[in-house]
This record gives sequence, structure tokens and C-alpha cells, in this order.
Amino acid sequence: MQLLVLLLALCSPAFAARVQLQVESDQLVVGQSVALELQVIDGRAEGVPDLAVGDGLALRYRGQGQSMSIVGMKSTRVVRYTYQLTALREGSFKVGPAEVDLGGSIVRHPAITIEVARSADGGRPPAEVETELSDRRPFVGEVVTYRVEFRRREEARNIRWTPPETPGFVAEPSAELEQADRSVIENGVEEAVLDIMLPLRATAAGAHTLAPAVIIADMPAPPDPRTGRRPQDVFGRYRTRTTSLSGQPLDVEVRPLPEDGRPANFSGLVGTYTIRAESSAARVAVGDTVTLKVSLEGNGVLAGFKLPAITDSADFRVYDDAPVVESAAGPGGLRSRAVFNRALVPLRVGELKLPPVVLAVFDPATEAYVRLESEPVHIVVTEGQAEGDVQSFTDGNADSRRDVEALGDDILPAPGSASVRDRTVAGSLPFLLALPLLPLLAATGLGLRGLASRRKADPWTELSRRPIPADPAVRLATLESMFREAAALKLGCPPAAVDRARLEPLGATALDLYADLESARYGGGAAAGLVDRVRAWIQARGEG
Amino acid sequence: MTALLALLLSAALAGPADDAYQAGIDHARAGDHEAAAGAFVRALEEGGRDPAVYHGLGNALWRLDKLGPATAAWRRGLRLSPRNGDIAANLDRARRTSEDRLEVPAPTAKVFFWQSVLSPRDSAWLASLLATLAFAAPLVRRWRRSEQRLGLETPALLVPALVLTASTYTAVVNQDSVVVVVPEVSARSALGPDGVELFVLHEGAEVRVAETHRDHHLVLLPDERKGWLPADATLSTDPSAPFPRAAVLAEDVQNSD
Repeated sequence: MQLLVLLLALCSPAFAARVQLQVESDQLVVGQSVALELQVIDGRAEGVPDLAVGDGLALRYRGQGQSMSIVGMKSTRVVRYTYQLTALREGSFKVGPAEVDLGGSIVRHPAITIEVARSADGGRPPAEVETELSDRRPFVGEVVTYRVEFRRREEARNIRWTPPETPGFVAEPSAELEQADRSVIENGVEEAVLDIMLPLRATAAGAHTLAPAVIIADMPAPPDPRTGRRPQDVFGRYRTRTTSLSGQPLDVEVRPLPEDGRPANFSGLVGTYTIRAESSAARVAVGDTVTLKVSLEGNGVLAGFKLPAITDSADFRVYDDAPVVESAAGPGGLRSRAVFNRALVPLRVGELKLPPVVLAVFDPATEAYVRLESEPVHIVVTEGQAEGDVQSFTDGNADSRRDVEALGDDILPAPGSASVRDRTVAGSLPFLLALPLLPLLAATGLGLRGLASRRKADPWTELSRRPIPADPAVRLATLESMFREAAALKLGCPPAAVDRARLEPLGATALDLYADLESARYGGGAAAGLVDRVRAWIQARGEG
Repeated sequence: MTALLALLLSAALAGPADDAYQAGIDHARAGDHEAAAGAFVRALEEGGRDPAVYHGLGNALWRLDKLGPATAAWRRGLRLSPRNGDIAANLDRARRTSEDRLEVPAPTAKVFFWQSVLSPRDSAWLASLLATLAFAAPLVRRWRRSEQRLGLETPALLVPALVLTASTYTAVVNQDSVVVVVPEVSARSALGPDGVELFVLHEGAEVRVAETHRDHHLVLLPDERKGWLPADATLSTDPSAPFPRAAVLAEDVQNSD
């Protein structure tokens, strides 16, 4: 049944502020969670309003939001406080009444009744959530596993979960949340199960109640009671409905660590641990390094733990490395492992006995303080002969050299001979700038040369500068050629087309020169003076 | 050709600097470190702003128990030759004896990661060479009668050349730091003695300069604290800056030099 029940509580008409309470459904089955919303309209509540619920219900605050609307020049401000209401057992229970403090005035809201029934199929809903703690009576510092089991017989999509509120516990940050999917067959029906394991460390002694974790998933919508069919969308797919499910709240008692028998060197570790120490080599030369590896493993927290320090002695120097800590939550609880590496440099020849690493921890399994002790480590320290080297006993040929011993330290000398120059950027700047200019200059030169090659000489100038040969026969032909070319330039025709008729527009000087050149060519006239006359006529560019 | 000309010119110009450097080495080997320091300063004044000169000068000042000037000299040498391991070792030794535990001002901009191995002069020469090749590439194409006068090689060479030029500019202009050369100096919130005393620096401390005003430097510590220091209590790590004799030498040495 998807009924939205709206219960309205109006304050006195003299006050504008109102309170509304909405619950997604007032008829629930055991284990079902629904959203409950308290709306404060045109008012401001002092803090998150408290709502009392019957003992068969669990209420959990989820958050708040607000909206503003303007209708007909009137603005309305709504603050919504959202809760999650979970049905824990069968019966009739009340939510409220709510008393909301709106800035000094208390606005009351009547209680609403929620009917909780067993599910229609005999108490087995299609999906359910079970929560459990691995130990309901842990000690302070002990790590327990909060386990959420989400069982469903129908397909569930988009599964997400809200971790529980855990007063008296903190989620252990060094271990990641573990999730696992599995399936079980119960009464011939296959069920999918999602297991979520959350490691929690007990931090405060006393009795606490862990609020249930909530699983939210998109589940198939229930069949329509009129048709008996599941609703479908326009594409023929079954509609889904976002469903919230929560487990049971868990009552827990966290016990303090016993004062009796607490050793002075108690390490603070709570759990069942084992310790082991080993060296990377059984034999080592003086001055060489050997690594002492101490492994600590158990079901408690190891993040941030430090081994008791070993100080340097006359026999060795020690350098601690950062530990490597690994933690993982699983069905068996938390498993932690820390590896501490210590670099040891033996300083004396002989047998080096490293004392065992001793730790005092509290073991919740035996409820007593336990002394952990590693095996002592023995290392044979040799003189300049590392393990694995083959010793030679051949007489006289053994390498007896030793490394050069450093006796002191000083500054390093300057070079004895050096060609000293200015090696600053400023000292090289002229050359740094000149180098890229070389190709630019070359490019500029080539460009100018290209321009020059494309330039056309003035034909009149070229004609006036043409050399006149000394040989009379060749000279006459050259003069005639120069005259014809100049006349052709003036007339705009080819030199071969120049004749007396065409020359008439150029005037008497041109006609006389033409006649004298013709007569000189055919022997009827002298060529004397023709050179100067032709040059003068050309220099005058055919004028006159 | 130009590089050869540059080498010849440099060799011709650096003669007196060579002589002064050699004199400094001779004095240092004879144990006269004051005279050695004077000779090395003279080599600098003669134009020999060379890592070897700063190395020798730093050594001589170190022998004279002048931690601050020695640090400044080695720092200058390392800026001219970032790959010089000997100078780096000496500088590291000097820094370990300094009273102030300060993170050394990073001499490079992080984006120009090559500045830790290339001196500003190296990167400038590389930029110049790449620019030359970029400009020469069209000429080569013309000589080979290629149809395309401009190819991809010109921008491919020109872009790194511009980046290296920016790197050089940053290294030369934007990385001013100073070394404290007096036993102790107070950084104040304002110029002069009126400012509130903010923190105290000791000889050998190297700090970045954010601003210079009226013979005072506004210095910047690695933890972003700022304060004004009198300039005469510090020495610049810029290798192009003069190395003041008064800060490093006794008067008699100055007169005799």
C-alpha cells in the first residue's frame, strides 16, 4: 500500500508559523523503514526537533533542507527535517506528539499512529536486513566486527548503505570495509546475500545501543492489488521502488580493561597477538649492516604502534625503519600485521646476542594481560669477512688489503690551474645575441640579392652605355643597331620594323640619322660624326 | 666561427684574471689565505667571474673563519656551475655549521627543472644555438631548392629556444638571495631601528630577497616570514655582483693588494 498520510497540525491562527508531519506510510511490516518528514513552515526551529516514538519503532535523524516559494506576492519558507522510521516489532505505536520551539513559542503537534504487522507471507519479507556484532561485551580497545547481512529474494539494484551510529565505538580507519556477495538456498528458494563487515574499536566503557545500519536499494514495485500484475513502464520494464531496510538496534556493554594485573610496561595493545624476530643474516662483518625483522600479528589494531626502542651500545648501532602495517577485515574479524625493520651495524667481533622483544598486551580471549616475547637473536660478527665470502687459506696469496680509513673531513680544494673567464650570462651576452643574427644577416643578404636580380635596367641607359667597337664595319652595324633599338623603343615596335615612314613622327633629326646610316651602309656617305650624333640622339631619348 | 672568436676574445681579455687566480692559488698553497682571498677578489675585478675563482675565494675565506662570505662565494660559484660537486660539497659543509636551520632557497623555478644541472650561461648558449639553427633552417631549404621555404623544424627549434631564454631570464633576474655575513643580525618589521624585531639570523644563513629599498633587503624565510635586514650585513649570491673587499679582507691586505 502506497498511501501518503498527511497529518496537519495548525498552530493558533494568530501565528503564521506552522508545523506539518508527513510519513511515507502509516502501515508497516516488521523490519520496514520509511521516511518521516517534519516541516516547519514560516518559522525557525531551535535545533533539530525531537520526536518521541513508541518502543516498537526506531527513529533516526537523516538531515534537513529548506525551500522558499512565492505565491501571490506571499513568500513561504519551509524547513524540512527528515527522519528514518523503522518498524521493530508487531503492534500499534505512536510517533509524537512533537513539540517544536519556534523562537520562544512552542508549537505542538499531535501524535500519529503507526500500525506494524507481520509480513503477508508469514514473516518472510522479500528482503530483510540482519545486523550483528561479533562480541556484545568487548573490552575498551578491542576491535569487533559489525556485520550487516542483506538478504533478498528479488532482484535489488543500486544497493547502498548508511553506517550505523556507534556510540562508544569508532570505525577503525586502518582497515578497509569488507563486502562480499553470496547466495544461499533456504526452503528451496535461492536468496542473494550481501555481507558488509565494518571493524569497530571500542573506545568508551559502559552500556551503549548501536542504531541499526540502513540498506537502501531499488526493489521491484509490488503488484497492483486490482490487476495482480506488477506495474511496468512504457518500455515494458518492471517499475522499481526505492526501499529502505534496517536491522535491529544492538545493545552492547563495553568493559574497561582490568586494573588488576596490569603490567607497568603494558603496550596498550588489545587483542590476541603473536610476535616473531629474525635476522637477515647469521654472520656479518664488522661495520656491515644486518636487518632485524620483528613481525607482530593479531586481531587488534597495530596502526601507529611503536616497538620499544633499542639504544646504541658499544656492540652495535641501531637504526629503526618505518614499520609496514597491513590490516584487513574479514568474516573472521580484523587481521593486522606489522613488520618492523631495524638496521644493526655490529661494532665488535664476536657473538652478538640481541635481547628478545618483550611486549605486554591484553588478550580479550583469556581476559588477562599476556606477555609476548620473541626468540633471542644471535649473530656471529666476523672481522671484515661478510657471510657468503669464500675464505682462502692459500699461503701468502690472500688479499690482506683494507679500506682506506677516513681520519677527518675538510673542504675540497679549488682547481690548481684553470683558464679563468667571465662565465656569467652578461659576459657572454654579445656573442649570445650575435650568433642567431648570422643566419638572419645571411637571409637579409640573400633577399637583397634576389631583389637586385629582379630589377630591370633602363634600356635608354643601357643603350647609351653600350660600347662602340673600333672596327669600322662592326662599328657601323653597332651604330645602326643602337639607332634602330632606340627608335623602336620610342615607337613601340620591333627594331626590324623601323623604316623611314615610321620615323617621320620622330622629327628631322631621326630622319637625317636614318638617311646617313643607310648611305654609310651602302657606301654613299661617310660614317664620320655618326657616333656622336647617335649617342647624342639616344641620350636625348629620341627627342629633338 | 663566432664561438671561436668569442673564445679568442675571452682568452685575450682574461689574461690578468688568470694571473690573479694563479697568484691566489699560490698564496693559498703557501698558507697565506688573506693574500689568497685578495688575489681571488682581484681576479673577479679583472673580469674572471669564474666558478674556479669563487671556489678558491670561498676556500680562502673559510680558512679565515669567515663563514658568511665563504658561503656567499661558494653559492655564487655553484650558480655559475651547478654540476660542480666540489663546490656543492663545500657549501653543504658550510651550511651544516650555520646556526640557523633554514631550507636553502631553491635556486630554480620548478618548471625549469634543468636549472639544477645547467647554469644560466649554459641554457643561454643552448637557446642561442637553437635560435641560430631555427633561423638557418630556411636558408638550408633555400640552398637545397626545397619548394617549402619554412618547415616544421623552425618552430620546433624556436619554441625550446624561447623556453630556454625564459629559463635563463628567470635564473638571472628572479632569483636574488643573500647570505648573512655578520655574526648576528635582527630582521625588523620596518626599515631602521624603529621596526619591531621579528627574528634573528646568524652568519651563513641564506635567505631569498623579496625587495630592496634604501640599503635594506626585505628577506623571505622558507616559512613565509618576512623582515628587513640592513644590506651591509649581507652578501648577494649573484655571481655578477661585485664582491666587496671590505666585507672579506683585513685593511692591511686591502692596502697591500
